[in-house]
Amino acid sequence: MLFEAESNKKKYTIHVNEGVLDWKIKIHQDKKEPIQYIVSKNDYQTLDKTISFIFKNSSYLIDVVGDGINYDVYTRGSYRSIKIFNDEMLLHESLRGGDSLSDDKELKSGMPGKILKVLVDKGDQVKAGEPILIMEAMKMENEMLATKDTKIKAVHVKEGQTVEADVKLISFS
Amino acid sequence: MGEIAVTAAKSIKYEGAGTIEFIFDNSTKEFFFMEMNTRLQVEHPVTEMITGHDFVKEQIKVAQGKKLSVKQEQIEKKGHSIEIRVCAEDPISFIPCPGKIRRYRSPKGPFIRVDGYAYPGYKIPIYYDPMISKLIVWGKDRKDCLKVLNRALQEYMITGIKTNLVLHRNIIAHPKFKDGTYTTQFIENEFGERKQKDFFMYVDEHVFLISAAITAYKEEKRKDISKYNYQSQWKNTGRAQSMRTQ
Repeated sequence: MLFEAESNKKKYTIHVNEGVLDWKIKIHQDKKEPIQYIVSKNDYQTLDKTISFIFKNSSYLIDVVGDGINYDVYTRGSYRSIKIFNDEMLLHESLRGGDSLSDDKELKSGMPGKILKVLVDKGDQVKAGEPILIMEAMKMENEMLATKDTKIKAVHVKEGQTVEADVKLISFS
Repeated sequence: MGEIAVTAAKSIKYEGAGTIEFIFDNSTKEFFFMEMNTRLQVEHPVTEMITGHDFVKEQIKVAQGKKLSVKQEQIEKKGHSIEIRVCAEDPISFIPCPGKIRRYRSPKGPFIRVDGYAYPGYKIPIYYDPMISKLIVWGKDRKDCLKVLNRALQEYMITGIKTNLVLHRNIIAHPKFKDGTYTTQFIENEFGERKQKDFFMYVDEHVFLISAAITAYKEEKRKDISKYNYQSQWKNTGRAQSMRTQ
């Protein structure tokens, strides 16, 4: 099976072939020579939903969380967010390309927290650098600033409200 | 320092557990008062490890109006101890990273203590600071202690959220930390332009890629329904219908 992967801003093509006794993985990074690994299924096992992987004589306990495209890989206190597409998904992505969900149209919560203050109302004109909202998370108050001169289209949250990560807080016109 | 701390506490007729903080200049051997806290500090396990006394118990006793169970002369120091705070935060940007812990395995073995209350499925709340646990280790001297700490950090597994475990590993491996010449600007100066690549050197890049790719492969296989040989009932019905004679 062929996958396109993106990790740490680098692009890879990965071939995964499952054999009876081993996995054949070919990793091809742009312009570099492809590298083939033959990973014995004895060295790559899933135990209690955790992957035990012996790679180059080093043992890793790995946890992979994935939703079909975005995979977060955790091991040895390190982590990596990897995007993985197969052919079909690549097509979907390219079709979606035209639709630009640009960040400067809305303010989203970077992490879960509580809205302390909303400093703007619908229709207000704000200047770049002006505070628009104060959010509290983990005992810290964070002031959200406008990144450019713009007008407030809508305010989606109320003071005192708790929000999850990646929630739309304010829209700009 | 101890004498001055006692004098300070006595001068305000303070009773109970308290902590007085000083900062020590190793080159001039001068020390300066910083602040006093009217309680035990988050670092108290370090003192417990090198003295073998339970200070929380003593603090409660004193608060009840009872006497301390030991005298200063009876307290002996032994070895070296280090405590680290394990926090749910991005080790690169220091931004807190609350969320749900998926896998949790704390280090075990001699001279390792973990104070904390985390388990698989535990949700790190957004209301407090992002500390998950405290890891305290003991060794016969600092060098030995750092060895124990390094192993403990290797064994500590927390997944599902970002933690600063890898930052601690980088810190204790740093020559300036090892020889003790670091200052309060250590992080700023030495890890100022830290990058994911340097920080995650403990893992081969391809380990991430292979495990993600195999997981994605298995996911695709699982979703592939052609192997189940499902057939549309419409098709069967259609066939049966067409065979009927009018």
